[in-house]
Amino acid sequence: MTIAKGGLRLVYRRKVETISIILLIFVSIMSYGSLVILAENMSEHAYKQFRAVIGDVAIFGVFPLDFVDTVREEAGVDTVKSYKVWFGDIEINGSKYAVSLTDERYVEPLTVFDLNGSMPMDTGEAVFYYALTGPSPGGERLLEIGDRVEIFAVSPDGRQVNTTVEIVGVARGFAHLGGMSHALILDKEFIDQLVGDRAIVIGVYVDPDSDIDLDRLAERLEALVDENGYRHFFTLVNKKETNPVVVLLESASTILTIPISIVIGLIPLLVASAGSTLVIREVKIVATLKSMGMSRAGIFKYYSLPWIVRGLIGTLLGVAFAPMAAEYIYVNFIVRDSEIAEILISTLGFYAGEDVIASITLIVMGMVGLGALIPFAIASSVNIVRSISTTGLYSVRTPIRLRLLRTSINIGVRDLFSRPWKFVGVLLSIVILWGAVAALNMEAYGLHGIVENYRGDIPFDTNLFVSTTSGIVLDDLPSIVEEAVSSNDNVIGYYLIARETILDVFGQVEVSQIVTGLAGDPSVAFPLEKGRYPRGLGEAVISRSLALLKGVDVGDYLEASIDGDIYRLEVVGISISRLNNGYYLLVTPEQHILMTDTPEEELGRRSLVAYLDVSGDPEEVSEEVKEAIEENPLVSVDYVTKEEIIDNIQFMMNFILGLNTGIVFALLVASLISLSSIYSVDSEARNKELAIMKSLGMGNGLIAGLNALQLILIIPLAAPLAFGVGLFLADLISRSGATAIGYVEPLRPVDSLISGNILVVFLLVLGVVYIVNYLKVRRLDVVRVIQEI
Amino acid sequence: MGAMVEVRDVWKEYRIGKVVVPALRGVSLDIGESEFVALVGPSGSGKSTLLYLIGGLDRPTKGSISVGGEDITGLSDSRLAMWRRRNVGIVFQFFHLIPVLTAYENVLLQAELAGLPKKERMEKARELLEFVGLGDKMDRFPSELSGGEQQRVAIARALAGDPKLILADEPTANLDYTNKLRIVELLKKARELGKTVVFATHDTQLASYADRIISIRDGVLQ
Repeated sequence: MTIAKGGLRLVYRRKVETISIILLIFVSIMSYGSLVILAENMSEHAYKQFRAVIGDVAIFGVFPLDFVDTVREEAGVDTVKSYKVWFGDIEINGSKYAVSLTDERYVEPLTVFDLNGSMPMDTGEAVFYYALTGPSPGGERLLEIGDRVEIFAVSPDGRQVNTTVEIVGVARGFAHLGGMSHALILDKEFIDQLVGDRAIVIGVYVDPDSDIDLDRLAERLEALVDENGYRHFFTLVNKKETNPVVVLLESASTILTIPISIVIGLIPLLVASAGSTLVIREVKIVATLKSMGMSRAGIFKYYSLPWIVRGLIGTLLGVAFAPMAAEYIYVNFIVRDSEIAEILISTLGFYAGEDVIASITLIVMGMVGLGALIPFAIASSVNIVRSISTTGLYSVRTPIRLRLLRTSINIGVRDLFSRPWKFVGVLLSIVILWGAVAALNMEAYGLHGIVENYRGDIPFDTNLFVSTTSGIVLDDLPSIVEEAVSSNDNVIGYYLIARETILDVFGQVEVSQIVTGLAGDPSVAFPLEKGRYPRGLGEAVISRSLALLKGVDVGDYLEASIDGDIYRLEVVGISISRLNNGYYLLVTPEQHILMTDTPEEELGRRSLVAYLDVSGDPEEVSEEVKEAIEENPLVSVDYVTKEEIIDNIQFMMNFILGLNTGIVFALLVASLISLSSIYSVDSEARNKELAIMKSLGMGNGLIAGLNALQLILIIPLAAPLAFGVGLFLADLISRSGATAIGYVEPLRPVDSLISGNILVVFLLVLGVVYIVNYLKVRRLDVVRVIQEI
Repeated sequence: MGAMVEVRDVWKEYRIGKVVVPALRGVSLDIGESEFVALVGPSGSGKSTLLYLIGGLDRPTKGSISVGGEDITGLSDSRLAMWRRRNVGIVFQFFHLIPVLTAYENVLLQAELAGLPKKERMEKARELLEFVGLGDKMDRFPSELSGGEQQRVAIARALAGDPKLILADEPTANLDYTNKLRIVELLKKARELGKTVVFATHDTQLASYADRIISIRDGVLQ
């Protein structure tokens, strides 16, 4: 009991160690914990918003209203919601935009926030809704209250509807109503007239506590639709673990949490290094305690328990503040609109991360315990007789006989290499910091490479998204587009494609595209790095990003999974084009039809994408082509120029780089805490040696410089390790973040290791270590220390 | 014979918690050039304190100390460090050799700090180790030497900067009789080289080897 008290007293009396370890743990848990809790909440909110609208399983198609009752009767179905949401075009200043058309019944409090104006009261009024986030052009406010807008639509039974409405309200939210970023919320009567006695979306809810297999339920519902011969667009199973938004958010968050999590690796290092230094300093006390008959348990209480108590304090502080930090970031940096954030939190709650906190506490305390075993092991192995009979300076094992130019320099060199725990602590602190910053640099170069790739190597300058009004089949859609494109003198080359977006084709829970050419030159959009374009069934071109992620090359086979069917495809070419996140298969039309189950007569007849290589201003050429295509009243065109794509990538790049700067800062703080603590405790352990050096006439600056020199000496040893750690981390970050932003190829590893920011970080570390040592040596009471026995 | 060390009305007080403990109370003394002086007194009498004040390792609370005609009480920390390099050699009770340096390098370090040219300091370190009888153990680390040997290296180190003043604080306290005599003989030899040697001891028999014995008790010279 007495020895345990003595150990606990050390927590208070040895303030440097106590403050350092508490700070390090606090920084680790705060940064890692808050990011994980933040990601959990973002995912949870996204999932709940999805569920509020579409339920657990949603079937999209054209169904008679009595079919809703049939679905309600299915086993396992708790409740059912049906919606009337349709699609049409609106014309603003001569340009058409595809929008979804719905009414107030489809609008959930969770999907639409911040309504300015009022909901429509009659058929001539509408609310314009736009999504705050999501695929381009999300977040665009096209209309204002008081505007009048013309709607073009073709009803499910083929009637053409053309009417003008007045905008009486503007609303915004996070949901994509009907899967589109822009919507018109119309009067109920208008929608009833347009859609008739039909439901377009049937959202099925099951009891959340039941263990119903949602995939099975979806299969049964699809079979039911097929049996009745109803028109079926697609089915969406809303499981948290496969929800595309949730998966995307979780993948994106790993880009941040992986580098931060390695800070936790510094915890056992600091405990081991500082703890063992203390034991070596107090070797006589250890020997005395052992001579008194102190058991191993007693030694553990004195030399390991204080670390565990310190760890516990740091952990408790960290877990107490991490949820608050997460909520602060969520409100101020993620939602960025405190009103919307408040609605989200009050409606959906804010998960304080109890599970996350429990896991972090266990991991961190495990790390502390692991580190605390080292001083315990050293203290347990102390030789009583030798330690008590030794006088003067504490002894180290026989030092290496490394000689440098000056004897004074030899002191610094040999000290570092003669004490394993100090050496390991300093080396690994440097390696972890260096490796992590290098990994982030490689990622930054990789993102920069994508921009350069788009700018320099991919020929297309703009791409046009062409769709028919209300998704009707227009037989001559490809020829209309090809005619408009080829007749424009400013179009140098073009490639028209049909594409189908499918989830989790490559086992990454990713969003993938199955692409096939309709007309034109594929090299305009998909220039090859190697290989050739597909010529028949079973062949595909994939992106370099996907090839790197899967480790496949030309001639290898890649498996694609769609609705439970596996397609084994030979990679015949690798393209430098990413196309969104780089998950695509460029295949022949036959292969596309086979994989997507698209009727041949509908391929590229509802929508298609045109990639154009143009001379002159891409914006102007896009407008010209758009105008030509939209001469057909049943077709609308949206376009994005390559510069806009590059701007988007650069925005994302700057965002990630900004976050990386924050991560580098957190890593720097953690490493500085670790190194300062190691050197601070080391100065205390070596205080007699330092006092003697001072008595011989060595100045404070010279002594502090010798310790700083150790960091410089460690660079050649740390470099290869940091290089390896950097490569490993960069690949891990790329793989973990691949679902969200595709596999970003880590580039220029050598440059990343010696870049400017690393030099700045290193100089900062060097400066802080010098200052810590200088202050310690300056405050050293030479006479008192020398007179201590 | 001029005064190498001039101590004038020196007081030294230590604060232990709220209590002020006087270690030296108005000490004044002169030590001449090439004198071999023993400072004797019981444990806690203030002899080590006086020695460290003369060596510039600490500052008096009141009074002044001059060494070789230079008042060292007003020097800054960095100036004192520079001053010690060439003007004083200190031998400690517990030897206090730098553990990561060999015997030769421990001596060489002091010569290096004193600013001796490379060739000269290397020769000097070897000569001094021969002088203290350790020519065959130059490459050993302190942990590979006996207590007596370590103290002889410490004496060689104290002489390496060619200082005029050698201070030794209980240099024989941790040694057996044979080694005690050997150390005192070495200190006497140092005096023969023209050094002023002041050593603190509580052993009156060893003190008798000195030219002059100064007694101190409760911080006051007797």
